[in-house]
Parts: sequence; structure tokens; C-alpha cells
Amino acid sequence: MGAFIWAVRKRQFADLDKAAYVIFDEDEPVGVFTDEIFVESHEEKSAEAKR
Amino acid sequence: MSVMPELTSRIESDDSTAGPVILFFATAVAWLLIGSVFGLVTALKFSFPDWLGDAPWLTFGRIRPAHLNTVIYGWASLALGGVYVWLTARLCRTTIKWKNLLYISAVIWNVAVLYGMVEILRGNSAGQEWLEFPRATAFMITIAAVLFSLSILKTFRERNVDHIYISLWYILASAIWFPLLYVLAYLPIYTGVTQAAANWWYAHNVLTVWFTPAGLAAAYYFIPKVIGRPIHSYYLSLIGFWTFALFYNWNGIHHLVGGPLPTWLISVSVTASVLMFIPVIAVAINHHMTMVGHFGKLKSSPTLRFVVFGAVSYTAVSFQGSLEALRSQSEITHFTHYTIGHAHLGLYAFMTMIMFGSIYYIMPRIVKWEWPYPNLIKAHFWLVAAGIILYVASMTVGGVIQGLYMNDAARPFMDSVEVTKPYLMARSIGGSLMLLGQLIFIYLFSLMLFRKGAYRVLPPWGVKIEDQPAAAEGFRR
Repeated sequence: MGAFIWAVRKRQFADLDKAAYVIFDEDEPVGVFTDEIFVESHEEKSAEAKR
Repeated sequence: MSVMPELTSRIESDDSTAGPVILFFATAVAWLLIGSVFGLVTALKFSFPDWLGDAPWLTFGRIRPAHLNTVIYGWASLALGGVYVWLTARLCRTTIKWKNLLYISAVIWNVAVLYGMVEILRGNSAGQEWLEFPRATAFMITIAAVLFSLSILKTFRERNVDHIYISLWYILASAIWFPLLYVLAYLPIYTGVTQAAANWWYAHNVLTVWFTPAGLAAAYYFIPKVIGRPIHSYYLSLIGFWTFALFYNWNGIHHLVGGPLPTWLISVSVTASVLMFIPVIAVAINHHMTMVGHFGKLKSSPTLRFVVFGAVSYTAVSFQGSLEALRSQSEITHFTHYTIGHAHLGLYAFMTMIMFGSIYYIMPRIVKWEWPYPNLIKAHFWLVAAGIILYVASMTVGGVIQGLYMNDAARPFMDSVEVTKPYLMARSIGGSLMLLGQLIFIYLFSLMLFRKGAYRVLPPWGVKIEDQPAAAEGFRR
């Protein structure tokens, strides 16, 4: 209950539309896929680099 | 060359966690192997009861709690410890604070689990499910948990963000709740019926405050982060968290339906268990709707495969758990293999799969080396996925049949044992597949630790731009 009151006072529930975006930034913005180990082009790049 | 400050900041966060996270993950993986071998031996003993029966330390009564405790306190706790450390630094956009406390915590935690495991195998179990470790072990784990939490809370206090992302809410709650729960469960004040109530209050709440928040925190971060799309409804995620905090801790006493406790106490617990539909549906809608339109990306990302598998399993295990709490279902499935299937659906299909997915995402970013052999990662996924599906399906069906047989007064008890035999063998086959998949994972993880294996290009997120030429040179060596 204390944590909830603290969160309200700190306006943690004030702007929830923006809140979901905090895990993104300029370098990894919305729309950027950040894990592509199985992607073929990634495989090809690796093979080229090895050569 | 200009460096994007956010990229630099993120890499500094990741780098600051590297030492402790690797220590947590590496020791977790070792316990995964030990705990899984204990688990497979336990499963096989149901089909071959005399096997390894001559040595006391290998008898069912010791090897089964050894499996449970090494898996939950060894593998699952240390894996989630690593994930919490990494996520906290990232979500607070700062470096991890009081790092030495994390090293000390990991060392004490491992010594405690090792000592506890040896004592259980020597026959010195405390005799309560989920609390089998002797008091000395419990004392060490409490110290380790407090040190761990202090580092997490200090990092949070020095955060560089205003908003607390939903994953961080789960992590902070977990860091505060778990040490409290563990100390309260081990207080030497419970006897008789009260002891049973405290035992199951703890056994269910350790899922509430420790393992479930870890799985949900990771899923709420990795699903949107990997596919590059914010979660479907942030409002729902908060409703899910606060109702989770409100209802979940009342659930434990439903394990004692039919037991010698006041009826009102069990009814409160059953009611709270049904109310858990609210946070679970909130989480399920969010995870599913976030993925809508992006399911094709499961082909490209191991993290996404494991985490989405875990998220779907969370919905399944939670629905199953709420229904299991009802007296009408409990009459059939309580005291049967059904419960074992449920436990593995939660701790493996949900929690462990999400930990695998998290490790696949985190490790390259802290060791600066891409996972070698993508086909082995695929083999890991399909083996453990097939194994746990077979495991849960066989225990669920076998458990219901077992319960119906036990409730049939016209049948001798041994019929309820005989009828489960094919399901128990299927469980052992499922467990073997899981162990095989895990051996592949351990092999890949070992290669990552020493930056060995086939060279693969590290995507641009791993190294600060100014350091990339030197790093690339290093990889080629």
C-alpha cells in the first residue's frame, strides 16, 4: 500500500501513453528488431567476415 | 566519429553488470545440470523402483528433494539473479551499484545450496516441502538475498530515469518481498497444523515473490524490445502488477483443501486464487496482443521463441492453478501426478524457458561475442519444448486418471498405481529430452564464456562505435 501511495505521489501513473516507450532510445527505436541470430543475412555476414 | 549517447549509456550499463551476471549465470547453469540429473533419476525411479536403491543417498526420499532444491535455489534463483541485475541497470539507465555485494551474494548463495544439497543427500532434510534445507543453509541464503537486494535497491535509488517501467516494478517488489518471506518461513515458531499452513504459505509465495516476477519482468522487457514495438497496453500491465501484488499472496492455503484448517481460511485462499484470473488475463492480453502481427519474427530470434513459449505457458499454468484451487477439482487431482505436471508447467515451461530466452539475449551483450552454431540453439529449443510438453501432458492426463481411480471405492489402491505406469514412462522420456536440450545449452554457454566456437559477426549494439575496429580485431583472434 505504501509503495502504491508513493507511486501516485511520484506521478508514476501520470503519463502512461509514453511510459511503454522508455525501453526504446535513439539507437534502438521503435521498429528496430534487436535479435536476429537466425536471420540468413546475419549468417551470410558472419561467413563473409570469417573468410 | 560521434557516438550516440544512449548507445554509450546502454553499453556502459551492460558492461557494469558483466562480472556479476556471468557469475550468476555460470553457476546457475552448473546447478541446472546437477538438478536435472537428480530430476531424471527421480523420474526413472517411478518406473524402476529398485534402481540405485542400495545407496541411501540415492533413494527417492533424498534424491527428490535434492532435485527440487538444487533446481529452485540453484538454477532458477541464480539465473533470475543475473537477469535482475542486468535488467535493473538497463531500466535505471545507470551502472550497477555496490557490485561487490553481488559477488559476495553469489558466492554465499552457491555455498549455501551446495551445503544444503549435501545435507539433504546425507538424510538431514528439514522435512518440509520447499523448505528442506537445514537452518544453516537458510541463514546463508537470507544473507545472500539481503546483499543482493541492497545492490538492486541502491541502483534503483541512483537511477537516471523518472518512470519506473513495468519490469522494474516486478524486480523491486521481488527484491523486497523475497528476503522477508524467507525469514518468516524459517522462524522457529510454527508447530503442528500452523507449521503446515506456514509451509504452504511459503511454498506458494516463493512463486509469487521470486520466480513469477522474474518471468514476467523479463517477458515485459524482451518481447517488446526484441520485436521493436511497445507493449499493447501499459494501463493493463499496471493493473496486472497491482492486482498480482494484492491477490497472489493469499493463494498458498489452497494446497490444504480438505486439511485440518478453519474452512474460512481455505475459502479465502480459494477465492484469492480465482481472483488471480484478473492479473493473469491482463498479462495474457498484453503479451498476446503485443505479438500480433509479429509472430513471423519467432523464426529469427531465439530469445523471442523461448520467451513467447514461456509467456504462453504462464497463462496456461495460471489458469490451471486457479482451477486446481477449487474444491471440486482438488478432490480429483490433489495428491496425484497432476500436481507435478502443474509445478513443471510453472517452473520449467514458464520460468525456465524465459530464463533461457533472457540468457540468449544478455550473454552476447556482456561477453561481446555472438552465439555460435544457431542450429544448436534451434535444437535446444525444440528438444526442451517437446520434452516439457510431453512431460506436462503425461502428468496431467495420468494424474486425472490416477485421481479418478483413487476416488473409486470399488477399485483397489494398487490399480491407481498400475494405471499411471505408461504416463510415468512418458514423463521420463520427456525429462530425457529436456536434459539433452540442456546439455546443448550448457555446451553453447561454455563456448560463450570463453568466446570460442564459430566466429559470427556481432551486431552493432554490442560495442561502442569508437571501439568497434579494435573489438572486431579481437574477435578474429
